[in-house]
Amino acid sequence: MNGRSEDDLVASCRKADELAYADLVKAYSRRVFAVCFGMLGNTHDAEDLTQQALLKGLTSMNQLRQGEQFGSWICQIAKNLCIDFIRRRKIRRRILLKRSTAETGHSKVHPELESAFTKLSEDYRIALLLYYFDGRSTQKIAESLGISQDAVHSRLSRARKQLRKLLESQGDA
Amino acid sequence: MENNCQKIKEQILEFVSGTLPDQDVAELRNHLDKCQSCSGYLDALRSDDKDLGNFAESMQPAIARLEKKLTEVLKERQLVKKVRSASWVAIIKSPVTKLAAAAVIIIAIGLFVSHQGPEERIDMPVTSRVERSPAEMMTLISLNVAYRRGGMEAVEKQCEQALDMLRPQHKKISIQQLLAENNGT
Repeated sequence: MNGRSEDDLVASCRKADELAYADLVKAYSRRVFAVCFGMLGNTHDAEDLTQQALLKGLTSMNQLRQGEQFGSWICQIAKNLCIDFIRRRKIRRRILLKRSTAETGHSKVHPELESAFTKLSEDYRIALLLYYFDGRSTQKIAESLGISQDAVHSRLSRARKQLRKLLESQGDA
Repeated sequence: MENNCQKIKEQILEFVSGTLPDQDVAELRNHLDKCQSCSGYLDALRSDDKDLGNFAESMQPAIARLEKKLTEVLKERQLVKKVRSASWVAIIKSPVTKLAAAAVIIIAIGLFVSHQGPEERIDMPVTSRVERSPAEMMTLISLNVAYRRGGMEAVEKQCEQALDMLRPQHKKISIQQLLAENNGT
């Protein structure tokens, strides 16, 4: 973030320096995208909702009490927008994700892994996406989800375990 | 062995996530050297790890696209703000705005003054000239004319003449004779 802290950038944004927000966008877009993709399973919708969440963050900046909580705050905004989106479209998550695997097309992952991945619970999916999308940092995941690092470790372990089980059951089928 | 393998598999999960404490890593490696099942499990998890990494990598163009779009939106918003701000400054500084502001202030003051209630009006004293006698009114007019003609000197002379005229007189003198003496006719 050009050596500036979240507090500093948030303070600048509050003084109508919108270009300071560009630094926050660069730092957090991957995380927000991971949350949105984890909830929606569709690249196109995930991009839209990520953009909406980040823009909402800019216009609602005065509601953020502490600058260093920007990460968890913006991820919560993204989650809420995704919940509203899913409710509005009235599409069951599995159907949406099944459609998305056909739509993404450009993924380098083998189809079995994608299929198993979409069957994971939302919390596990988001934790794994955050891990791989944002530099494999459990500390960043803890900040984004507002949970402890121990909870993140536990969640990642369980996510891998469940994924492996799903892959093995697909292999057996 | 099976119970031990169950515990080891939990450790393998932590190991792949990079969260296994260092003191447990050596024991784990020792078991993996001897147990094909657990070793196979580790290989499978590593393969999943690689595939998930590739999956995240495949999403990077979408994220880059998103960042670029957002940066453009932010630049545009900043530009719009600057233009609006500059427009406002130009409007405020223009002579037309200043004149309009002055007119508003003047009208406001006028309205304020005109709407003062009757209790605020100061009653001016009514002059009492209409209540005086014609003789007194003539005297005032005469003194006024004298002042305008020659200032205080003329007024003093007028007063002296009046006093002289009003000095004790023979009781049989007529008004005409009195005035003739004063007017020099």
